[in-house]
Amino acid sequence: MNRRWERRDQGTVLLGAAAIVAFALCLGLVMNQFSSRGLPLFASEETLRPETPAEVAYIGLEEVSRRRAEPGTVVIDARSSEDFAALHLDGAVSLPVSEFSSQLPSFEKRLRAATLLVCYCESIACDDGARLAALLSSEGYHEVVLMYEGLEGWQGAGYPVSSDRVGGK
Amino acid sequence: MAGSWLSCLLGPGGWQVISGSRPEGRGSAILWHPAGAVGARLLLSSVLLYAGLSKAGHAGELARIVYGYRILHPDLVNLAAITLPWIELSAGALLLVGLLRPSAAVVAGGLLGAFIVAVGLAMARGIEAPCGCFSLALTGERIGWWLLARDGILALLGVYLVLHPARCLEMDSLLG
Repeated sequence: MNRRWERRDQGTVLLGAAAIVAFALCLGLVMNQFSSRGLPLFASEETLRPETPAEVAYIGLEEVSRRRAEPGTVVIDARSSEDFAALHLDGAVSLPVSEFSSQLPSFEKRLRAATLLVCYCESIACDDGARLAALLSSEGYHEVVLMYEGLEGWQGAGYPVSSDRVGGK
Repeated sequence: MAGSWLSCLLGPGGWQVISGSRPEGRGSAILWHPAGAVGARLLLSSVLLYAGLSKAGHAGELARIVYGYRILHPDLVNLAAITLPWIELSAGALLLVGLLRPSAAVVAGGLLGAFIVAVGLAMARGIEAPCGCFSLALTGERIGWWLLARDGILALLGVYLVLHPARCLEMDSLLG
């Protein structure tokens, strides 16, 4: 077998591999060009969430589910107060990122006592959760994490949600 | 035609090897039996085709998942999301029909190796994002040890197919 491999033109194999990749790249680019859901070749800040600071880590749904009952955990909804009232993660508090400066003082004591701050927004595509996490981190809060999937992922996985509206969940 | 194709599996080319009549020895003969290459091709190509089909045409969703790994520079995320499914599909289709098999296996192995590195780095950083393997659902399979092990096994299949000397049920053998 080894002799067969040695005899085989390794250069031809690698050249073939490069040709396959080149063909696939071209195919992908052409399909993207003619797709109604095509993307710009290079991502922009509008299409991708902004990066959070290095000290802000991601946290998965399961871990949030496991840790949210702990006394030191605070789950924070970064969306607007209207969106929060309509539906939010069960047990979460509302701190809209757009009202961060004005509303933070009312949470100061509770957040300083917390051992884990979980931020989230609507879905994997929103950036309010990441922005809130970055703001909290810049204010000196530790153990700030971002629930990557947002409320959409949380609800989709079957975890409990609440509504402040009459007749809501 | 079908008979001559199958003879490589069931005829002397196959059974003599598996019976250990070749100088490599019985264990090696079993390992390098032509049926092994056919099985590995079918398995690896099925996985690649399924993975590629589930993602092709959904570059927007895939881009967010790729971004979630936090390995690529954001500028390159879209390019990866646009092209990755088509690399999977191309390698999978070529492996399935047995055309340019060693080269397609190099591509498949390289792709799986890249996935292993990406998943390993994400895990080391505590990221639990959706893996984006066969589904773009946010609640789909997540990155973890099982995923690393599965990709590792599939990458080994790719290496096996690069090295396997047999040409059985392959278009390559028809084309000479």
